Amino acid sequence: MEGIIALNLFPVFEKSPAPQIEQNSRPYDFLLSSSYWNQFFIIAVSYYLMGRLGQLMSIPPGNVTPVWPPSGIALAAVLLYGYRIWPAIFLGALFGNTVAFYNGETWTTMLHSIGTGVGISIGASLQAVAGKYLIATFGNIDEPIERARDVIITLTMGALSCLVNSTIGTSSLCLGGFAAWSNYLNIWWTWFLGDTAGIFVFTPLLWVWIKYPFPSITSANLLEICLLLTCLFVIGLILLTGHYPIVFTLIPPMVWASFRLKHHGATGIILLTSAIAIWGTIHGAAPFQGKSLNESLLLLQVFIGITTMLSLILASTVTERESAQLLLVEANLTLEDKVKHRTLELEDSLKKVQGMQQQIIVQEKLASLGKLTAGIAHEIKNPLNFVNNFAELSQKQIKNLEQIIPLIKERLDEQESGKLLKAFATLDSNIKKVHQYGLRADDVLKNMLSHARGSTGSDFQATDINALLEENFKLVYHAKRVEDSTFNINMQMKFDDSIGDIEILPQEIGRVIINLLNNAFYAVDQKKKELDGNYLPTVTITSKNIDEQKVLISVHDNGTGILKKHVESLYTPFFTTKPPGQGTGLGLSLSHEVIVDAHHGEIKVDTKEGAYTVFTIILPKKQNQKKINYETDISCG
Amino acid sequence: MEGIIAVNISPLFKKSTAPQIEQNSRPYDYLLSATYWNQFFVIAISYYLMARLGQLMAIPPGNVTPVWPPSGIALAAVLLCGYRIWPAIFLGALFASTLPFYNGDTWTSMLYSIGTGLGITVGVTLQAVAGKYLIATFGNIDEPIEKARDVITTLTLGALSCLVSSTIGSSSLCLGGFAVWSNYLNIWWTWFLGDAAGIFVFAPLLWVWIKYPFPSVTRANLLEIGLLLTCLFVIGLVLLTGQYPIVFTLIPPMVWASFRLKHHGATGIILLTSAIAIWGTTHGAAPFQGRSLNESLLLLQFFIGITTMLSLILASTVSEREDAQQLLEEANLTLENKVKQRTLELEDSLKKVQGMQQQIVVQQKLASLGQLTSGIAHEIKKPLNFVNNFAELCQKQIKNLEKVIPLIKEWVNEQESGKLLKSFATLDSNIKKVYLYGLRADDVLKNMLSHARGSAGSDFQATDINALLEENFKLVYHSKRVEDPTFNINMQMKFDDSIGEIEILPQEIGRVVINLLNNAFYAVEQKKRELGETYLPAVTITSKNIDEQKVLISVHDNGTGILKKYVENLFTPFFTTKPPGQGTGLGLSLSHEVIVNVHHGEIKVDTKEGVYTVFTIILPKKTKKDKL
Amino acid sequence: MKQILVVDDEFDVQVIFEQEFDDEIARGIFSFAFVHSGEEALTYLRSQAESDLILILTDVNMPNMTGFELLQVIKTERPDRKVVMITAYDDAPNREKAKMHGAEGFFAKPISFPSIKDIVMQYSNTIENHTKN
Repeated sequence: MEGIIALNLFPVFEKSPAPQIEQNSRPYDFLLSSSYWNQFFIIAVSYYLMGRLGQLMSIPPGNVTPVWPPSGIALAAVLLYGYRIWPAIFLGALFGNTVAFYNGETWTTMLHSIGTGVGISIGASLQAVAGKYLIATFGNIDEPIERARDVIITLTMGALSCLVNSTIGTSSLCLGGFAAWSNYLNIWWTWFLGDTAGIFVFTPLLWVWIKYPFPSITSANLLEICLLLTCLFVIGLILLTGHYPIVFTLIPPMVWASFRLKHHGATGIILLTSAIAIWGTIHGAAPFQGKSLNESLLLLQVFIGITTMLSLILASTVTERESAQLLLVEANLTLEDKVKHRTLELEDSLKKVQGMQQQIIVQEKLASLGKLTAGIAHEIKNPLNFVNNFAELSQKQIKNLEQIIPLIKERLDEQESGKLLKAFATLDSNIKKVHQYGLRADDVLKNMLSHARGSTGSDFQATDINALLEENFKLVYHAKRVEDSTFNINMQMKFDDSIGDIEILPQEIGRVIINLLNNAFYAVDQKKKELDGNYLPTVTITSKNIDEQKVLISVHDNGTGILKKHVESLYTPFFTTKPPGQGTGLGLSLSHEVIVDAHHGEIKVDTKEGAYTVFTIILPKKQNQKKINYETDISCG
Repeated sequence: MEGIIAVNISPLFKKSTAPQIEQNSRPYDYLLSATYWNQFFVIAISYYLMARLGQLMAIPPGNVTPVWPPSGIALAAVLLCGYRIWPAIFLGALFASTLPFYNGDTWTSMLYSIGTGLGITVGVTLQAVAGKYLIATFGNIDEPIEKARDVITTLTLGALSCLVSSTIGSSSLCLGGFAVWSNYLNIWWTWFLGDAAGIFVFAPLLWVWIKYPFPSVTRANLLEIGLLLTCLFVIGLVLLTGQYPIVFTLIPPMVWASFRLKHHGATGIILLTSAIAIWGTTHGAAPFQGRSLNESLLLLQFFIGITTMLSLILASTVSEREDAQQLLEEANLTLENKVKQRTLELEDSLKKVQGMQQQIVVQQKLASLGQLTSGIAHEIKKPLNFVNNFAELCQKQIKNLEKVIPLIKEWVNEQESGKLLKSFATLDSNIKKVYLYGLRADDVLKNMLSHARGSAGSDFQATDINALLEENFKLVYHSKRVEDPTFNINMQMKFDDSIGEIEILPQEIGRVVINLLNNAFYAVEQKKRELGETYLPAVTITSKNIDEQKVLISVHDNGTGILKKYVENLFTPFFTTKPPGQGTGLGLSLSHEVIVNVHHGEIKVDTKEGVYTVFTIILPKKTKKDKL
Repeated sequence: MKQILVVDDEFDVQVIFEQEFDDEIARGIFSFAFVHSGEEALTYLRSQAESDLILILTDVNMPNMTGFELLQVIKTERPDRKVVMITAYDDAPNREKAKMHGAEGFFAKPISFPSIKDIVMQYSNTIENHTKN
């Protein structure tokens, strides 16, 4: 459970703006910082003043008070500002103690008094340092009293540290002759208790109020504070009459203050309650009546100790509860966010799925058409083969019949002869044309079939690139015109005839060209829709012989151009700027694959929004003779 | 903040298995239930016993004890069992209150004593009822002490209710002559405090331990309990020496018990501490030394009151904290699950997208071919047109040259003449063939083009349905044979020639027929793979003239048939039984759309697993004139 | 001599026409002029001051100026001229369009010469009647 409330900072505390001393750079840099000297000054002076106050309230013979503030101040100081503040404590203690004991009559007394003072000061400083060390080692040095568990540990460690000065201090007193060794234990004991009480009351108080100086107070709280103070006042008065041993009635206000005002309330009320209790005890109106004054004091201190721990524990518990609740809200919000985010992602993805389903439906129609086409192709090929065969055979027959020509010339008159010879020649020419066109049709069919089949095997072929470009240009153009009979563009073909054959996979390159042309046609189509009127859509396909090794092919259109932001995603699979159903977004990515991966070429785009787009392909004329197992046969959808 | 921790039941409390009395059905049904009488008996007896005990510990002259347990018992009883348990209290109180006063000497004294007893009893009963009423009205009756705020409210109201019994009781005493009116205030006051203390100590105790009888105790807790008890024991001893006024040292153990063991610990330790305090006070070893015994008692009660409230508040606070933490975990868990679930759904969806993307890639080639179809068709048509034109012209030229034939016979010898004439004839025949085949190719192309064009901008056309069926049958068959040259089936065409033309979208119906045929071919192919050579795959396409308005077309195959469980999904988009990559599952759904939505016809399937499948289409001969 | 202008970017169309109409040409009934683009057609038409042109046959699918564009220009300049479209794209929208723009006929390729001959005869007779009147 603790893990859940592992906070570094309690949200109900607003951290003090007073900066901590940095513990980096050069070790003694802090001596140069003004904040250090500020703190030094304040601590030294406070220690001295509270020490004097305490001494004034002291009870002989030990010269200790039930609650010795300086020890609390000292520990708080090192906790807040670090070990390095010890000289301030030393100084304050030195002045405080020496002044108290100073006896300048003789050198000896002076020495003794100063010595005692020094001894006690050393003890005080050491105690503070030891206190911090113990807390740092066994407790929570960053938040010593913010959690219930740590309250107990910190206060215990604090108490433990008081062993230091009780020992050193008492010894100094005795050594200095200011107290009798026989009284050692007594002094030691009261010293210890006083210091402990001082730490209990003042260290948490200072820690809380300096580290988190601005508690959040509402007007309701102000009312409660007034009520509490009134209660305390009343109880205090009653107690001080000495008639009613109702000291435990201090406890409900303490509980209430700790509960409602948490650490600030707890530490505040501890101070007040202790003050009431002490004042009463000193002036005889003792709530605690023990057999002797010492016993009374002991009882008092036990009371203070117990109530302090109780209040702080309660404050911590409440704070932890409120933090847990805050965490609850935060964690819930985070998770709610996550859920929302995930849900959005999901919705996005689902939309994508929907879109793709649409896509697939459209594609399905086309694919089945494509499949059909492949089937039909064979249906056409059959008769076409016959056409070609018989055309060829006809030519053969004509050759056989050529024998007649001289006979005709001989035997018939000019007119008749002329007619017949003309008919013959025409027949010959016609047959040749039949054959020529028949072969052409066959070529187109072959091309189409190869589209259907994909590339079986992957043999590069020496191909007349210009012919390929022209053929595919016409193909796409006609396809577009069938789709849209109003479609009309200025088709420009600028071929470099010095290019001979180049080694390519003709079907693949053909597909690439078709893809680029489709895009070009789409672009000019779109622009026409916007401009209509004077716009002359133009698509130009160019081939150029770059050098021995390379050729350049470009497809230029004066269409809508490509938006800058789209250019980088152009070759990404499934990226498309067309509305759904009008393109799978695969064209360019497949083209890129063909050009770059299969042919080791380049493909670039240059575009101006609203003006033009030109795709440029550079292909090597020859390929390394590596067989690539590029794709598998696609015989069914 | 409170709202966030609004729980009905503190999860750390395990509710008692003892059932509440139902407050439904007929109003007095409870008088029949065993539970009621159990409770009645227990409460009445407890009340009586604790009262007697209290009386034994009483301190004159008021005959009250510093802590009067029965008032706590009474309030707890009504809180736990409801108002209807009041007779039990009444009974117990009656006996407890009457017996001490009973004076059977004379009728008068008897009357007086009974009367007094009765009066007190009434007061006691009323007090319990009043207590519950106050808590129900101003506090939280369902969880009176589970939350810090409610602790204060409940205890305060409980204390308030004590006004009832103190008033009525003291009055009864005085009326009955058992106390003097001059002492009324004193009696009243001690009575009130005693009852209040009793409620403070016993009501929460009973509520907690009866309603949630089994606190979750760990071994660590047992150790703590041990320690606590030891502490209490020691402190008790010290206190009872009377030497050291360290009563406040009881407080840390109380805090600890409340903190660690919550309500059970708090109520338990309150009981123990109060017991120690009281025992001490009654035996003179008083921790509380007031000027008089009364004052001591007052202080004692005051102490009890304050510590009780403190402990319960602390226990509630701690409970609430732990509840909050539990809620935190639960809420987090729920949300985490939600996130997990969403993530899974997302992954699913993404996988789906991936799958679809793959499908699209696979289909891409054929789809782009499909897009090009019309362009290709056109590119083929152009040369083909010339082929046909020129072929025709060739024939014309041949006709022109026929003149030569007789001349050849004249000019050349038989042998040569024979050859030449043969060549001529062959040429003629060849050209004719060229022409014929050219036309044939043209026909197929037209078909291709019409498929490519689709139904875009086309109206319903009067179509020879049998011709359409035949054409498409052949088309698909050849397609299949190209794919797989070994493919061979028994093609049956049973056409009803009485069907003339019907108004349809020929390309669409053509597509449907193609789809059905493809499926039929697939089915018989699958079966062939299983059965082998002995199996004779047959696909039959039939047309029938149903009547004036409708025709029937069916495609029958003797293939694998369709599994019963698939039949209902048959026309669902994307549903397919083919392995991935072999079909998008759209064919039948699109066919269905065409037949039903576009043509207002019907399409049905009849199938037997492993035996046959037949798709039957019914088409209206004429359509309504809805232009698409 | 009645003249028919044929507009088609394919050169072999001329070969075919000349063969198909060889008889008529030989007998001087018709003469044909062949141009290979819309622009050429317009140039030719504008140059014929008083023409014996009875009919213009034009392909639809030509680069630069299409048959339809040509049709529109002709009909604007000389609405009396008769234009018949011949095209490989035989579909309803194209037919509609031809009709809309005032074409006198619409034939699909491959050219069915009997139909062509019919329509040519039809228009030649019309002209005759006109001239007669």
